[in-house]
Amino acid sequence: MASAGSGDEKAAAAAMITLISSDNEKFEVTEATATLSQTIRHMIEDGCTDGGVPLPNVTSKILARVIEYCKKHATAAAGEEGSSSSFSDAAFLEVDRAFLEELEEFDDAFLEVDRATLFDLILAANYLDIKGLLNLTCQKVADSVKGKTPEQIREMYNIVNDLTPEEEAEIRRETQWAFE
Amino acid sequence: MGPSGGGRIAAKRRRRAKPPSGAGAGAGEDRLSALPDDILVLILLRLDPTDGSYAAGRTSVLSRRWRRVWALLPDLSFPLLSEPGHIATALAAHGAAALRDLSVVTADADAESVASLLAAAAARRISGHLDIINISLKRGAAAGEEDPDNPTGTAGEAAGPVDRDAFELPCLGDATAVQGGRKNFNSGSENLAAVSLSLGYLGLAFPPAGVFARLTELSLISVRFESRCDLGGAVSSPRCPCLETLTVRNATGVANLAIHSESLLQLVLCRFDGLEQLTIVAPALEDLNTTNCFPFGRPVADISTPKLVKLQWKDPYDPSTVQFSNMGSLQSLSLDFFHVYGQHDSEDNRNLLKFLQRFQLIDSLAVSLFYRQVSLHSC
Repeated sequence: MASAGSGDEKAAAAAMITLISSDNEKFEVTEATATLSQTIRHMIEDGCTDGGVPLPNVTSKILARVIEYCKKHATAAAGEEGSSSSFSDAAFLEVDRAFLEELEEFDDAFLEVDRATLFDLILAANYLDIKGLLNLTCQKVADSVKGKTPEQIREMYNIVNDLTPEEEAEIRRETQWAFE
Repeated sequence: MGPSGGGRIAAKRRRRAKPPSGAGAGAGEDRLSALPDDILVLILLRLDPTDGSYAAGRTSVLSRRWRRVWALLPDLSFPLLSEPGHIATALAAHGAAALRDLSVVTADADAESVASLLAAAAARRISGHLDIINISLKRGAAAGEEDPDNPTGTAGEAAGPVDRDAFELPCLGDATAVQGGRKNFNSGSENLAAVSLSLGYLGLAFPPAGVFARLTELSLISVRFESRCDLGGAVSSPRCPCLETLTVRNATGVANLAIHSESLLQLVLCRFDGLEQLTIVAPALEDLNTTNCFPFGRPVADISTPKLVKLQWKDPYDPSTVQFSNMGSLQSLSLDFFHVYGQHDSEDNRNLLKFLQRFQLIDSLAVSLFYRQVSLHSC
């Protein structure tokens, strides 16, 4: 790892992993991309990725999006590592900021999905244990309910209120602190 | 809302009438409620952080599924002047899940309600930080920082025989302490690490016995210590064996403070009303800050802190009554006051210079200069 740069990139390019979606589509990705997923990282460490990694919980549509996210974030990480040795501090900071801004733009655009896809991404990020993606998608949901009344949240997410009026009154008493 | 089945029917109707924007297969489904608990907790944790736990608590009425989701939050925060009684209810409802941090801001809470809040917190065996701020709105001063020198009226009240405005601190952070005559839950791996209480000059006493076994940080602000309370004894090694950081700010009722601690690394004593004698024996202490501990009286202090690196002594220094042991490791020193303009040879100045002469080399020295305005045009 000491001499970052082209050598590492070649090594990473050599190690490819095949991911297999629930509908049997195969995706070839670099190890650097795949290991953003802790779940896959552990599988690689255990040496059980030879015949490809089956992901029965993730459809090809969602897996393609997840890989898009991982590729971008893996590249950004590799870029930061590689640049650190060849730039002066100031130039490095500049590059660093540019990377972060680009990454943020990417994340914003990435989240422009319909709600069903958003939930699929959350579940996939959780299953594959990709912390960045899970945080990103959960934040999107949290932002969408911020400042909303319970009624508005129910409407927005099709939550069926199955509480009897008595139960609801009891809960409101229990959580009076939240409604003060 | 209609009779019990009504909500469901209404919701169904609504679903048909108003397809959500991202229409597609299953667009009317409740995907949010179907997420596993730990993901819902992640989402609740990302709600407006300045709003504490309130927004999360309000999700309890969404549906049966949501009733207890907020109660899985690892930290609870009530920053908006909550009723202590309501918070005790919240703590009880939070129930089974582990609680790491609890932070509460109340206003003009009385001793009884703060005591019951602390007891509830002790029972919940918080593993991280407990932070309680009781702001005194009625007395016109925020509990934190304002008007330290004279907490109006409270000093007089303190002399009263039985004080209703006082309570005893439970042995927070100790797995085996007896509290309120009842044994705490049996030993646990994680216990309270840090306690910060800003009491708005409520009276506080320490229990006569009991160990704060895992407490590493203690901060007591705007506290009227009861006369029967031995603050020094309570924070010293036998009873606070892991205490590393101690802050006592805006304190009344302590005449003699003697701290003997093997573990203390940082000690801040600030604005004491009525302190007559200070003893500190702390072999590991690196950072000591005393500010206005003897605002009116003559300072009497005996300080033995051989490892001290940073000293702020913002009190008068009189070599005949203030003893410092060897401070060979000292790197940073900050002192008050050196009088300028016509008072060069005051006793304060001579004492301050005497103090400086103790050191051969100091990396960082700060001395506040005190000068009276002689005339408006003197500059």
